[in-house]
Amino acid sequence: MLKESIINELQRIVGKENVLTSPEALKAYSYDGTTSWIHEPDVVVFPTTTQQISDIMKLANKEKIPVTPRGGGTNVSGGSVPWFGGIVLCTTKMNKILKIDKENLTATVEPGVVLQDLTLALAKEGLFFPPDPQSFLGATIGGIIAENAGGPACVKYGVTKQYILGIEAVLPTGEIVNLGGRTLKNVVGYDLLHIFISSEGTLGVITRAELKLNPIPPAKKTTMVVYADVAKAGEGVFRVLENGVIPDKIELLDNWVINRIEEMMPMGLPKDADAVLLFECDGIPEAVDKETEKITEIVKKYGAVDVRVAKDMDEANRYWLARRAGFAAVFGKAKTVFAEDVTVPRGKIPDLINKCKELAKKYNVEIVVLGHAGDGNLHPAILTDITNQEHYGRAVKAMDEIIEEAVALGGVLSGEHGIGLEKQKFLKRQLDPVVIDMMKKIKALFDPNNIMNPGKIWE
Amino acid sequence: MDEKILKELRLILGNEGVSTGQSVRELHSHDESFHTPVLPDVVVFPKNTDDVSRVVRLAYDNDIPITPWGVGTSLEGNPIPVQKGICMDFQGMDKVLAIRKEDFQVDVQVGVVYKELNKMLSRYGLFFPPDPGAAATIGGMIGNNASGIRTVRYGATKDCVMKIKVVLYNGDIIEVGSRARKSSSGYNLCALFIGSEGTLGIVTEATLKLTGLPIGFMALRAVFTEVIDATDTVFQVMSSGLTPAAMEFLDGDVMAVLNKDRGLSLHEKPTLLMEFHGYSDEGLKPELSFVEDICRENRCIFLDKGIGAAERTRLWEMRHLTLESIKRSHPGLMPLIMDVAVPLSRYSDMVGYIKNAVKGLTAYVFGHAGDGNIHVIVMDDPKDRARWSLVEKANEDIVLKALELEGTCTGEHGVGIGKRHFLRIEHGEGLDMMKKIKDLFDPKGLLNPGKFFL
Repeated sequence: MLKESIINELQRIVGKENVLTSPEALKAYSYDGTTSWIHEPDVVVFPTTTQQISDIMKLANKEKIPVTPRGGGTNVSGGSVPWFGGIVLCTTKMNKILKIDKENLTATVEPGVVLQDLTLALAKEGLFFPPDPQSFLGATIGGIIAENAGGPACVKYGVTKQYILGIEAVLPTGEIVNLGGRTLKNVVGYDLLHIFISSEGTLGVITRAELKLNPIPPAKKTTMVVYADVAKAGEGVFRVLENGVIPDKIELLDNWVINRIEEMMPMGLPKDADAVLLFECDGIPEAVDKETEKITEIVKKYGAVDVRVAKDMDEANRYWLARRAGFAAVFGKAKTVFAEDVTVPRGKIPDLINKCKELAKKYNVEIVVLGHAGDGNLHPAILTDITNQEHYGRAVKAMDEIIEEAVALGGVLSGEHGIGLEKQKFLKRQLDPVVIDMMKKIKALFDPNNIMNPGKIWE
Repeated sequence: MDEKILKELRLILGNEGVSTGQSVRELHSHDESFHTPVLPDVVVFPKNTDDVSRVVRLAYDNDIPITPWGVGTSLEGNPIPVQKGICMDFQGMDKVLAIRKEDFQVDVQVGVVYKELNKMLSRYGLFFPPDPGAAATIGGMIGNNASGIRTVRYGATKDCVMKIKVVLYNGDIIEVGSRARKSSSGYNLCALFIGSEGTLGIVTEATLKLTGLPIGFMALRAVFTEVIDATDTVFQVMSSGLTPAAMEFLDGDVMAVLNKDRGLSLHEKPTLLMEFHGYSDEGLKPELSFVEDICRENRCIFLDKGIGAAERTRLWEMRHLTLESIKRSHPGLMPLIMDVAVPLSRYSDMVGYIKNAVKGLTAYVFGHAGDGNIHVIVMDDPKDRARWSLVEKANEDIVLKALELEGTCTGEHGVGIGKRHFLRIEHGEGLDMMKKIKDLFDPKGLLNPGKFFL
């Protein structure tokens, strides 16, 4: 519980209407997109300016109160859960798009802007912001930066960090700093900007961001490729890329996911396929046609059993709706789901998929695979039930082995979801203790009192 | 230098790995800038990460400064051993350790020269895109976060380095980054080391992200009467959905020097050189006519164009080694090279300001227009104090203008010695944070001292 005087001070800073302490409110801000971790804050505040955030941080730093920044709360590794209570600093009222600069292909935004709102505003100008986490209806720019989010389009366009030119941030001690700039190149001094990106709110609060945009390509074409063997689908991914075709999306759905989607909303997916790959090419129309022809030729050569090029936008949209429904399909089918986020070098995708199959047999659990195959970022999901101790125990073992295998294959344990609370015990396996020590020292430099989203990243 | 230290260095590296000869030390006393040369006490040639670690540990225990060295092609005094001590030359660490064609990756020691690497990778249909032009090593490119004419499409060094092995101040060896194409695990220390110019640790090995060699090529040289027409063309091409692989601006004076130095007869007016890559030569035809239209709408007065690799080579030949042509044309003078970058829409303002600021000086303006990066080369004599102070004044004015236009004092050459005094203006309180990070990674201040911070 926070002292009455602290609550009063917060009310003075952000206004009474922007401070919540009711039990319902505290409950609502106690979990993220997964509900796997729950901890209530003592108070939720909604600042509307950078100066207010600075004042909140100064107060919290003086009183040593934990502060957990939060955007839409759609994250999936516990990053926005206030694990030690204190203040949840919610940026959703700072949701203005300050500037869209068509000449420079940049936008200046507040951290609480929801990705979908940004996408719609940019579309009117013929522009887009390439990172596309599938939670775009709720995810905010601040959260997207803090987690270095990715999505299907990353295979061609790269992840969030490649689209952030600069940020304004409030440090845990209340100082306001500008990191990066507005230029496309910048080699002045240490790259603190990239230390902030994917730091999961542990180094400060992002209060403004300068985004790099792309013009919307004039044409798109979707191709669905059907496989009788999921590992062959994995191979199809790097065969296409090594032949010089760079689609903007390559997504994989396995047999289990295909069938659940067909049960939820029949859309003519091949139910007997072991896996499908969805390709999307974008660019000028002639190039898109040529690339699609080339994909068809390559995948046929490397073991695809069927290729369906979407004949119109309707058909293409159906396929992509299926992909987006994938997560819901998985989460709807089991009490507890371990949704992994391992990422391996692309050449190792078939190895990882085969390992998942082997582990499913070994531990007698259902392991389904869907994900951003083009990046080597698979989301193997293990279906289990936390109330069934015996089954849950087997699932945990299978999950541990998947992560170990991914790291052994030269991969990382989180491609886009972040470490948060979920993956802390695995961080040690991936990183050298000296490296973790360096990270902790950097954390201490920025946040001497450890008030900024404490309890995350490290155990 | 203490004979005892030299003996220990020889113990670690063998006699051939340690040199105190005058000529070797002189070779390691300067880069390609005008900054005052300083001779190191000793030059060492490690063969592997373990050698580096042991030398760094020895230096740490004995408080000896240590400055890493690639081939000295940098432009801001970055590898000059200003506090003497040990200069660590990586020419003995030039091995390609593994090529992983299916992952589009290669593991290298940092002494590899990127041009040599690309020659070798071309057999696999791959290349490492950053292209600073000079015979730079991968280590130097990582140290400075180098980029080049292709960065507009393929990114700077930072975008193409996935993982690095680093020797820390006390000899500890760490690996940061990963071979996966995405990562959200922990702080991005890899990005912190890239561009830190050897002031935070010494990078010894790297996993590089490669790109498939393009198959289709298309290039144009477009000449304009006014700079603004050229820069308007740049915005319009960049915002049309096309992705140029290179987009270079050369002012009329630069064209004149190139004509004279190489016996060419090109228009001596503001010029854009563009290059596009595609899946096939055929597929680039619609793009070419689209770009042509944009050029003509912007009052282009002459257009030379071509499709295919041979045409690309023909059109681009004159752009290579521009700096060398300029230097050759002014024997006895030294270059001061500016490297400002501004948001795209400010490019023509910036060029206009620069041309005014360098009036009366021997100055050349060109740059990577697609990235908003402008180089100004001023040729003069650093020993002529009166003249050189005019050059420095122009440099100061131009950088401050770039910052005022929300730009940066260096787009790709780094801070080194020459840009230290601009850091406070550009970063404000952010600079204090950088200093704290420096102290954390280098508590005794022995790693490439005298750089970055005043």
